[in-house]
Amino acid sequence: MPDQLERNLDTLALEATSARMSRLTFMKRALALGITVPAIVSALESLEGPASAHAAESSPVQITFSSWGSLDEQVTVNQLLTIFQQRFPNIQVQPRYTDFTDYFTKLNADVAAKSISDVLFLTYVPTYAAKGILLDLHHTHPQVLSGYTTDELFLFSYSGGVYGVPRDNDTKVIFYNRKLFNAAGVAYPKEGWSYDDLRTAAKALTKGTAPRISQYGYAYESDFWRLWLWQNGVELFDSDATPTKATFNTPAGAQALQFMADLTNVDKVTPPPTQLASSATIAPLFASGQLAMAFGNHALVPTFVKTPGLDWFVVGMPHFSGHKAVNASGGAGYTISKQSSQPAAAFQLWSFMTGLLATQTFAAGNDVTPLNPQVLKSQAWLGKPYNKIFAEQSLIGHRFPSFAAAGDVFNVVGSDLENVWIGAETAAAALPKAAADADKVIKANA
Amino acid sequence: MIRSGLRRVTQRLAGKDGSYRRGDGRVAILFLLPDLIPFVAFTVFGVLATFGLSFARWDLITSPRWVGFDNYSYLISDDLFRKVVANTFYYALGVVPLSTLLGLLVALGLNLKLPGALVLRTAYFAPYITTLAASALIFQWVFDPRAGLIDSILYAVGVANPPGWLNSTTWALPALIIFGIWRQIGFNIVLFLAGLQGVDRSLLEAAEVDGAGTWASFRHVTLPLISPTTFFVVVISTIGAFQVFDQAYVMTGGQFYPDNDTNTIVGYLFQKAFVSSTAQLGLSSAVAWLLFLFVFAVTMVQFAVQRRWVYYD
Repeated sequence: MPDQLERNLDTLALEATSARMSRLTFMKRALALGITVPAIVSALESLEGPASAHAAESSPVQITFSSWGSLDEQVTVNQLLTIFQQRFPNIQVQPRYTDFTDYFTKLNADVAAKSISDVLFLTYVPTYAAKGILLDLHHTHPQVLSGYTTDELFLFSYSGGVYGVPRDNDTKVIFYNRKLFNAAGVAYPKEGWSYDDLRTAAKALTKGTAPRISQYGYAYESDFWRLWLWQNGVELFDSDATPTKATFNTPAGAQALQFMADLTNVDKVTPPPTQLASSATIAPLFASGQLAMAFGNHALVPTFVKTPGLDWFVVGMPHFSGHKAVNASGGAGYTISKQSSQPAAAFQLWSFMTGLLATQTFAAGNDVTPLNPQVLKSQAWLGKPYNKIFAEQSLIGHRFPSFAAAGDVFNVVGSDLENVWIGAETAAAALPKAAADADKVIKANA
Repeated sequence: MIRSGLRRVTQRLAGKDGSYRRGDGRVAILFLLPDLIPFVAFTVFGVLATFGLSFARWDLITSPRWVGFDNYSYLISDDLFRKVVANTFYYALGVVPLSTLLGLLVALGLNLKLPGALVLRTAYFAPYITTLAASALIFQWVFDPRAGLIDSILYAVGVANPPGWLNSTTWALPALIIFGIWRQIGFNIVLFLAGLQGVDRSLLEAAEVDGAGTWASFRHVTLPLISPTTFFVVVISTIGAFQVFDQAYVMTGGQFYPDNDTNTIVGYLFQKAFVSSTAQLGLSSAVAWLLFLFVFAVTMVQFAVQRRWVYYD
């Protein structure tokens, strides 16, 4: 289909989603736009789900759906659940939203109480697949996995099974405040920039003297130490799926982490470490004009778009000297509980949430960097200029290690590195213990 | 009037000679049942179950597996557990003496019944009844090194490098102690006020007649007379201090940063039971029993020592 017609169809599909357009009206308008019948049928299927899916449940059933996400993201999910409800009136969906910080604590308690949701938005999937609580789609519904590459399904695979599909990419960018750059007379960052460039800009954009700083140059999420290691050519483990030991205790690893810690403790161009714990503490600083550059993913976009007077744009990740720029790849996705008492209804909802309509809606809602190449290249997505950067950065993503004890390993290493971020220990001194602790967890869970 | 009413009820329940009639025990149990059933089901059973589980490995999904003393030997050799035990003792040593001393001092002031004492009493007690999560969030700001209340004041008075509080390995736990004292002090004040109001005025007047000054009256009359209250405050505060968890959890977003410097025995228990991707309920149960032993031992020492300084009428 020519590009223009594809764009018209994208626009119409989004309009149909938001305006609850009838099937007949959609077809009439699509034909008027010169779109072919097979393309219209295909679009309708993606909007409404496959025709076979419309076999309504004979009697009303209730299922639960758990997710985390910003308030904006919850609005999008609620919109989708409303559409789902209209299509499947006999399937009542009860959403359960929990903040990401507490999501897995609650999930563990739900696992213990055998009351996990029927459909779950999830990451660290192998951890829960290993507990035997997730449905192996590879064995029950292999056809739904055909549209995904092995790489895309890596984070959802465990011991020969596939337990979900990804929704998005956790692509990181640097948001920058153009007004603050202009005021400081600093040139905007450009693609291909280095960490030295970032440090220079951050110094020029920091106002005040520590600890009384009124404007910070840069803020990063210290929890993303994995990314700095990859960016300096360091791998975390000897295998991403079945690791036997940690491999990040290297001079290059120490150099990367020390660089980030020095931004805080030597250059003093970042907020204190307690405010670098997550994007939830970084975003308000950026939105209020107290921070010139913020590390983050697409989830921050809705907040920044809605902030009056905030003039921002994004640039791709910088690179360490002698290395190419590297980003994070993979994200969370949808899974189905093996314990669900309503497996057919749960699969119906799962199919809907992983379908093109849901992906398009999330992309239109500005909440995520979609994984679906069709959406990633769509006009609706690329119509926003900053999304081009997200799309480009998603192509240089580094695969995330995925094994049952991954969360525990990251927790223990993250805790060991906290002294580095506060400047109480050098990265070179902290890494041997961090690697030894990681090895201990890997060995205990082997 | 109330006393005579109670006497009549007791007489009706008891026989003429004061002994209880046959069947009274069953009636008493019937009255106790509404409280006894949930107590046995949710407390006694839970306590006994954790004792058994402390010798097992249990991930909440598969059946518990007997491992003998493995959980206890793991804890003894675990660096992190040793660290959280040290943190908990440090916290208790900071909070208990200071909140007791400050509670007594403020209570002495409030006992003077100066104008506005009622308002002050309410203000001091407010932290104790304020939702802990809400006050912990406020203290996050109080301890913020950039714009926080404490560091702003210190900076204003010329301290060039104020403590980073939760951003510092040295000051993170003292920050929790300050918060703990602020929260505990109101409760201690109320208890001390009750104790002070029970001090017989005639004894103080007798001391005055004997030529005792304010300090001597306080040291040799008031302090001994309120020593049972002081003992109660110390025991209750110590038990509470050993169970500290929620303020550290809220103030650090569940991270107990930096590097577990704000983690405590209960925090460690929580992490092993609910945060670790594989629940370790057996290990957590062993932690709970070790915590019980610590509290029990400290309380026993306090009871042993109290004979030397607590005076009962």
